[in-house]
Amino acid sequence: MRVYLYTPATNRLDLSSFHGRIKRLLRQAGAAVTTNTERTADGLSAAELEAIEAAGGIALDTMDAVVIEATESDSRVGYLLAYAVARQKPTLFLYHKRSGQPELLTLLDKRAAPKTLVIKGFLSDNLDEVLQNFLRGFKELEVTEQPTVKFTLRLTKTMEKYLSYKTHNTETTKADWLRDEIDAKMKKDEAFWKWLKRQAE
Amino acid sequence: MKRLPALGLIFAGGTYYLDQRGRWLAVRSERDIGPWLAGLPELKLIATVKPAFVLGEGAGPVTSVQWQRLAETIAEQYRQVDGVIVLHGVESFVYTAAALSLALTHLNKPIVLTGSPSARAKPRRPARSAIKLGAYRDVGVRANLLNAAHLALGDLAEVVVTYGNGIFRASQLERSSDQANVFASASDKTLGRVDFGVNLKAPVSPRHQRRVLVRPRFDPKVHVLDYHPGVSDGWLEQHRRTLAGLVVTLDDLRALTPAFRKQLLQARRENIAPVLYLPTARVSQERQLIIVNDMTLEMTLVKLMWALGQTREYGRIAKLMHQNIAGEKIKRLRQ
Repeated sequence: MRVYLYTPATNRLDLSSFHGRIKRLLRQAGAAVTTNTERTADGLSAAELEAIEAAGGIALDTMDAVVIEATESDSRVGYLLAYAVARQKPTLFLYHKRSGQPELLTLLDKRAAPKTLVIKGFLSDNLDEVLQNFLRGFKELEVTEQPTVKFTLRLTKTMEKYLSYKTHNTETTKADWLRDEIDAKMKKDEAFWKWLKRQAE
Repeated sequence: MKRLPALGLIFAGGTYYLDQRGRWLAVRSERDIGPWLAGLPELKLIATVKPAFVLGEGAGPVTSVQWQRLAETIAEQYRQVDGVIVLHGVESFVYTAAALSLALTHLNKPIVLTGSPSARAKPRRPARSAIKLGAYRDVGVRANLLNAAHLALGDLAEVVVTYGNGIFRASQLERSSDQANVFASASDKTLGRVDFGVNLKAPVSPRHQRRVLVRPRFDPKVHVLDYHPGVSDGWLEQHRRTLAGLVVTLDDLRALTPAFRKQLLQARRENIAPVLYLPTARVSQERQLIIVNDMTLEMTLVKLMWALGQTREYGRIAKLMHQNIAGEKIKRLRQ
């Protein structure tokens, strides 16, 4: 999956740090990221760009999604937001909550905004979650989460023996085995992913 | 909130787009402008728009009359806006691009031409539901208009064209010979590309404070004659009453018969301005007739019409035809 990440130039160290985190998280999720700030190994190569241009195409159209960090908006942010509205490209528009909503958003006609446009304020401690929620809508991506929710489950004795049997002489713990089983069922559950995407919007 | 920039938006065709309900919208008359703009909410994110109507969709080909109106309409809006966009149909687009680049010079902000594909490109029956429109979303003026808006707010002061992924100098525009692109640059060098936004890659005149020069008059009575064996030596005699100028295209000056050349020199004396278009000629020994080998044919035709709109004197016409007014002179024309 191809993602275009746009981060305006900034003097703010905190924003620069967030830009780096966003890039990392997108890559960890398995996205091939093209950015406006650097040539990257996983982004569109010069040869690919040339091929798209020779075919009369536009590189931005070949991206599956666009992520814009827009705390300090510039003219390109306005253009990309307009593009997201016009072309209905899945787009995540981010801004740092402490800086307030960008003025640009006051110009957005919310009724005309497509469902593919997700606008989210973020803070340091929820940036990962915001990105993961957005990316969950894309089946091609493995969104790697760390299990952090404590869940107490009472089992029957036979169930416990079954777990021991399945994990005996393996490197998998009983908890990991259960998580893998849930993960496998979850991946096949189309209705769940649609529901989750609606929750994220 | 800081002021949103203002863009002039001039309507001269090329306005088709598919709205969210699967309907084709276009501007056929001035009253269509409001609903048409309402279907493009994304524009409001970039600029406020000051529309002006010159020609409606399907109103017929754009001629020198419309070129003059376009130039005058742009000139009226120019001071009040930060940039100008002209929407135009694909047919005769190259001629209008040439015309505007001559009629409006000494620019201090950009004029950007763009438009939608030809009306024939749209499907015969619109899809019934928005879900099925995925394939059709690419048809229409939407993307071109966004790119034009971004370009029209950029740091340049020229007449340029953006269409598809290309950005071109209007005075060097020609129709493309490949199927992937509609237009190309006759110099083989584009001004830039649209990839992740609008990117200018070649030097352009930047914005500054000079006053725009508006010279919108054209004389339409110019004919293009493709000279070949079989063209009668009496051709000019038969047509002289309808001509103010003539562009004669040929590959080699030596192909011109002495009798025809004599007719051309006679025409000169009778205030008909002949121009010889020899795109492949490298050296010209011709002293009495204007030779052009460094502009496109479309630009040569339009420029002669424009020159005749400024003067009738052959010496001054020659000077204007040889002068590089809007970057139309190309060192090596793409063959």
